[in-house]
Amino acid sequence: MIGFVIIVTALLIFSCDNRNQNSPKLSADKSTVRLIIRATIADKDLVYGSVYRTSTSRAFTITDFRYYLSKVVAIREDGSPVPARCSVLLVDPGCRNYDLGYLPAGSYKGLRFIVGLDSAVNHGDPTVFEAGNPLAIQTPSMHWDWNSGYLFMKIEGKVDTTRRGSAAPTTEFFYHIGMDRMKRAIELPVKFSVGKSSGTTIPIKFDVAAMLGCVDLQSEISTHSFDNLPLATRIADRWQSSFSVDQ
Amino acid sequence: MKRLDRHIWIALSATMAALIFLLTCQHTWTIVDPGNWVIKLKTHPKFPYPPIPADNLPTANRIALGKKLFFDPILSRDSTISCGTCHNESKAFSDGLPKSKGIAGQTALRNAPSLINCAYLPNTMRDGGVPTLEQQVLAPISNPLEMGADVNNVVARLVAHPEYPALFRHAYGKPPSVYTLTRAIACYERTLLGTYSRYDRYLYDHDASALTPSERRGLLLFFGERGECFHCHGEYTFTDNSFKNIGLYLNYPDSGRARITLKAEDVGKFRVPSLRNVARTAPYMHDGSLPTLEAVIEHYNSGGKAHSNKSGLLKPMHLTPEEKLDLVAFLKSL
Repeated sequence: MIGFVIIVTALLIFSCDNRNQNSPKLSADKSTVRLIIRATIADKDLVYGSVYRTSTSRAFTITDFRYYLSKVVAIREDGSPVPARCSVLLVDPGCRNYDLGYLPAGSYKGLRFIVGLDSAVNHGDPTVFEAGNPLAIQTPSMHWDWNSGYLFMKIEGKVDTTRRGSAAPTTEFFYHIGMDRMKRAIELPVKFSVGKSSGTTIPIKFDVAAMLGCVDLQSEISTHSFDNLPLATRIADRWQSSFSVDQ
Repeated sequence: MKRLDRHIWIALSATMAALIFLLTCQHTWTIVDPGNWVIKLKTHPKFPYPPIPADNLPTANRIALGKKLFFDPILSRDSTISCGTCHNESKAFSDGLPKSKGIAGQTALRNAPSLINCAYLPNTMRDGGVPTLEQQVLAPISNPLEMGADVNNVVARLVAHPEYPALFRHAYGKPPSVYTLTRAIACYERTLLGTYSRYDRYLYDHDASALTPSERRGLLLFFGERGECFHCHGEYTFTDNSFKNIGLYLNYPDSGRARITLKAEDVGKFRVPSLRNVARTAPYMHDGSLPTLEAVIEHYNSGGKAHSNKSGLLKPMHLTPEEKLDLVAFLKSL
């Protein structure tokens, strides 16, 4: 009888298996370095729904603009790279502060990162990430469920596609840039120093108008990447020149 | 007597410790509920056991939850369509339509494939774009032409549902989430396994009477160098799961595998489908463009259209009318 009680007890204990073993969590390390990222049009903060004009005075609005920024590496004055702790950021105009984690004290002369995701992350299982993780399924989605890959950048809005183009924007346009080949390495010569105890912030900005300068908003109103590779490639090729240090 | 007292003390202490431990543990009573014991799937006796991810081993609770979800329209945006709408058990989990109907009367991109033996797929979808059954669950939910829903909103509905949260806890020890939702449905789908067909009785039991003379002639054509069918439709599920262009069109409106790989040589290639239960999965092809097995045989007999990616195995076969009937008869025995 006693033996039976002990066995049952042991079984009950072992039945309590490890939960969450498939739910990786990003570490919540206290950070000392933060990226401050602004999205701008004509040097003003991007505001969803505001009517903007292209260089040819065509009216358009932006309703969604998000992108993945990953593999951030800080470059020391001597050129040596220091990978940041954070693995993946989902950049959204609604949020400006992005923790990079700890960096060793010293002087730095630049940042390197990629817009997009490494192939392994891109084709990983998005369902294992808990809500709140940038790689979890977002609302609205940043994942192509039919080919198991993330949208590296999603930009959507409305545009007036009439010949004059100056009336209220009513035609929807969207550029969904993804698939491994659209990943772009970005280098930003931004000087900053990290103190021994106090943190630092690195202000950068992304000029949406500079990126859209390569698009004819009257006729080129959509790409899912796979169905219009030339347009998607042209937009991705603009990413480097759209980033700058925020003075 | 003293010794016995000591044993009782040890047992009591251990029991108390276990109880305290259990009360702090959300995954309580796993061992007590036989519904959480890992079970063995009832596979076809001659098939190997399918690969199953370690985090989603089948239990009665998981399968029951997945089945309930599979047939629940709660997964679609307007709550009108469930997985079972397009994967109907009476049609070997296909739907009999050339292309499936999504919410608001929309037409989906492709023909709904049978789910029988989906546990054996090395990847999913007709173009192989999604690696696992678990991840595949997301595709019809979010496809605007199919269920048109946001999976996070679907999860919110499940969390607010009077029954589902408890069922998820029983099955996975966790509340409804994108993770547990996709696990449960995939767990159920792996139980959709083929049965022992007349062809199996002929092959494995050496029961010559299991196939008619016409079916046996069809078998010889199928596995012979005139039919050449077995090169791609080999193996126990009658598919090698490769992607092939069979010359259906000169210009494919749906580029198929190339949609995933972006390679010109993959245009018009689609997964070679299993032929198990094929009599119940009409119409045929990725777009349901061939209504009957007779039409399928006619296509192969013609050798297909001269697309540059067409498989070299497709050549005019010059079958007699009797041979066509024999091949169709054989296919219906699978």
